[in-house]
Amino acid sequence: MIKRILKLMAAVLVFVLCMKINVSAANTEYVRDEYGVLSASEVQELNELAARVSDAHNAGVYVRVMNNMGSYFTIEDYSEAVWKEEEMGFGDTDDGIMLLLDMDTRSFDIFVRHGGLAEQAFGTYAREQMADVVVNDYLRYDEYAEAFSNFIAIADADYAYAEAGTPISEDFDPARDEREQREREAREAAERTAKTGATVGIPPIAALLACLGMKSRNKTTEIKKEADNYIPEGGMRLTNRSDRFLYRTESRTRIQKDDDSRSSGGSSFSSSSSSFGSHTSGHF
Amino acid sequence: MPDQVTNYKCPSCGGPLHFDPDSQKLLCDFCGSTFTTEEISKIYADANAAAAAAGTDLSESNDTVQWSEEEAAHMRAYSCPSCGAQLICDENTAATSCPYCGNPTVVPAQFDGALRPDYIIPFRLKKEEAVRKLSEFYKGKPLLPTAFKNNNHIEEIKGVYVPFWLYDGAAATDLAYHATRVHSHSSGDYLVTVTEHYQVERQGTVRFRMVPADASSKMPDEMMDAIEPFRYDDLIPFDMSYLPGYLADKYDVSAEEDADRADVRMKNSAIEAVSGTVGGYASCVPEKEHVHIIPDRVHYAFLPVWMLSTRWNNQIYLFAMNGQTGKFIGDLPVDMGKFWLYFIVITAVLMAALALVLFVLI
Repeated sequence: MIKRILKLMAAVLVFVLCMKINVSAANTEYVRDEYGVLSASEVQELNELAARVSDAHNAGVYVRVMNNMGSYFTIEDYSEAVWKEEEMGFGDTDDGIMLLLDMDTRSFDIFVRHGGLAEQAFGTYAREQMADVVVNDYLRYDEYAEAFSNFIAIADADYAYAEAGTPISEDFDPARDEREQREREAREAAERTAKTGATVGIPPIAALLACLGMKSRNKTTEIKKEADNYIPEGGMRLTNRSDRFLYRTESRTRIQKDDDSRSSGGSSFSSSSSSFGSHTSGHF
Repeated sequence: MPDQVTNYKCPSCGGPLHFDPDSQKLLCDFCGSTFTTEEISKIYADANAAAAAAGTDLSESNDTVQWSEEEAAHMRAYSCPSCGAQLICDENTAATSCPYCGNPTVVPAQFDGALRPDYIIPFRLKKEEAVRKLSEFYKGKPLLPTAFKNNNHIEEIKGVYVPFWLYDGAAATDLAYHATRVHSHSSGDYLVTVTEHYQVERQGTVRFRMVPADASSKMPDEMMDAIEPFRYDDLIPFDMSYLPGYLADKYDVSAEEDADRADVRMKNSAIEAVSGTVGGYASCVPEKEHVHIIPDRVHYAFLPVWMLSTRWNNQIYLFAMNGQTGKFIGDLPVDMGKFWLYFIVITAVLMAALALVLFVLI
């Protein structure tokens, strides 16, 4: 009987220990939208995706959409407070990354906890590259679901590179290289198309105009429509000359700035670090 | 209706006289004597009054040629004072030459009373100049059929004093426009475009002096318009002695019938002149363009024109040269084969050049 009780206790202990290992993942939502930019189904899908990625790398990937920062002055402080309060992260080092949005000020922060795989995977360069895609391509256009799914996908890829011993850096960024290659190819293709169009389209039009000009030289007779040559000097006398103001209309057009374009420069980000973790933040 | 004709003969040798554009005098073809128009006018003033050789209406003659009644009504027969041959002319003919003896002949009756032109611009350029200008006219026209250039010969060339009406008048002009001025400035994130709307009005008169319209139904209007302008500083009071050696018809389009052509031209130019005083606006939309032509004097003038005709492919091509300024006009045939050949060659050359620049050099 005692032996049976001991076996049962051992089984319970093993169960409890197992629960302890995954406590963060089980108790903390990966994606939470307090502001309401996502639908319930989108939240569910993103949660499942983030859970899969987090489990695969044993490091968390989190998204928080908050109404405001409350009493916190900076979004960096607020991020760290949320991280601590919700006990985010995996393992002893609370390993993980979080994208937090404050909808009141339309600011964002990508927070990376020090001490684990996330710190290796998301250096300053990697975080800013991630922000460039997530913020400039999606958040600025209020495309939240796309922004978050891209954030999770990039986190997944960057974790994998770090696990392989080649974290993303200025010297090693396959996604950037691929993107630049794609852009270069697209630019070259557009240039080729424009050149071909010009080569094929302009000459016939120019030739037709030239030939019509030559043809017109063969016809020199015409009925005159004017008699300018027969106005003697001082032959025009104005008796009334009035320019009366009637009314004024005004139209306003929003100035298209360079950074309004999805494909151009975009917002500037600031990166910082504390003893708790690293941040890349800015406005969207 | 009896008419008389006059040959201008050399007072020295009796040879035919014709007007020489170079010396602006009458020149004897035989002895080379020259006479001013005043001298000849004086000599012939008496002769014309006494001349008894009368022309007759063809309809009244016993000529064996069978003319229809309508044709006969528009023809006149004269006896050439030099050789006695019968000259059969259009009812409007005022100056011609005898087809038998070649003597220049003038019909003074065509200039009696109201039919007498007020002015004339004497020929300044000779027949040779017209022939030279025709060959020059073919140059610089790459679409002219080669066969036309090589095979075509001048079929006829004649110096003609064309009757013209010269209209004086004024155009009372009343114009109104809706005009706008636009300026922009930035305000925050916005570009503010301000459009100011104006009612623009102009009233005034534009005077015109001697707007020409040819008064001969035989002359194509577009040709007579195209050889303009004539320089009126050469305009002198009419004298018949400028006519020998040239053809001339009296007018057969009345000043009233021709007035519309001059009016349209005056209206257009008046609008252009008065509206030219409207400036500084981004847009100007006409709301009212009223022009009232106030007619004034109408002058009757003979203006000098060289008419040339050539035949090619059984078609007559007519050219005209201003006998005063040398302006040469006429419509030439177009070789459509050459047109498309040029099109293909230019296209190919441009394509090759563009391809070289865009794909090789850049």
